[in-house]
Amino acid sequence: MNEGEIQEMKSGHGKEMTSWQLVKRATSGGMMSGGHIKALFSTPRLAFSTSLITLIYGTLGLAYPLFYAFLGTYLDLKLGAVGTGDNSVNGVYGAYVYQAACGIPGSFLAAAMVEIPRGGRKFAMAFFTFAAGLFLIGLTQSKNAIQVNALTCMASFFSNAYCT
Amino acid sequence: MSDGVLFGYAPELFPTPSRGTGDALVACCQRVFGLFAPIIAVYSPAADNPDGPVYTSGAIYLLYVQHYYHCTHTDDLAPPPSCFYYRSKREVGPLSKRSLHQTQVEGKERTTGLRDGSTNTSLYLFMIRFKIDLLPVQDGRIRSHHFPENWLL
Repeated sequence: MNEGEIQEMKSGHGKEMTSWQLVKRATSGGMMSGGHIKALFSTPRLAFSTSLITLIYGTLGLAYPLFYAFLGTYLDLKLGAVGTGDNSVNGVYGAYVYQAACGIPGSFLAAAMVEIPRGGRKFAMAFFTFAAGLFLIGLTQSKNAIQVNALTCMASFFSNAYCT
Repeated sequence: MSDGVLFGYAPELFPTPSRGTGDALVACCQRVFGLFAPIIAVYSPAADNPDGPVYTSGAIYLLYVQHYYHCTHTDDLAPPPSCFYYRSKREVGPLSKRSLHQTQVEGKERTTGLRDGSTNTSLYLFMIRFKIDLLPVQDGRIRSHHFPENWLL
């Protein structure tokens, strides 16, 4: 907004602007013009890195709720299906508490692992992701209630360590 | 639910002036992808079996292990772009602390550089010491060939 526009506004004789013109003017400069997003993709390597981080966040944002949002239903169905399981309210909530408690030490392990020299955070993240995926796939093959509980706990331990 | 290696690490991967935008971008992407979790768990063929969503989740984890190693710490590549966003062609000349601090563009004086913390301060001092000059940006676009990616090596 230059001096002339300010004077026009003060004098009250400025020409009418449509809503669309107002929106366009409000978003034409500064942070709304997309300059910061352009900066994130300004060099090929920066663009690659940004795309990769976005992809990782997206896939983790998909994989995490796929397991955790339906964990109660899943434990109920699974503990009912394996025969030796107890899918009463007590049994299901017990299994849920076990996995929640197992998520806590995961954070401590993560805090220790990121300090490892020459491995660092990238290795820690890759390791925890790999372990979480392994135990989740193992969980689908579990045959009795002990396996269900143990593998849920391990998956929770590792997936709580690196993300959310 | 917010402590983790990834959430602490990913913001460091963006160049400082655009870090907030980068965080917002990835958080947005996370929620948009998360939107598909119930769709997969209810409507896809994976929903025929209670193990389906869990198997999908595990498979996604395993698929993306390798990708962590391709992320680049972008502060190692180049200084944040804003330090030469606001330099116009008229000002090409020897770098000084003052020219990094204040530049004159389109009649407006803007403060740039040397305000983003000690890391970038040391980068700018390094640039001054070794006479690494940055030619201005045309139309907001960075000319990266003036600034080779491996300049720190």
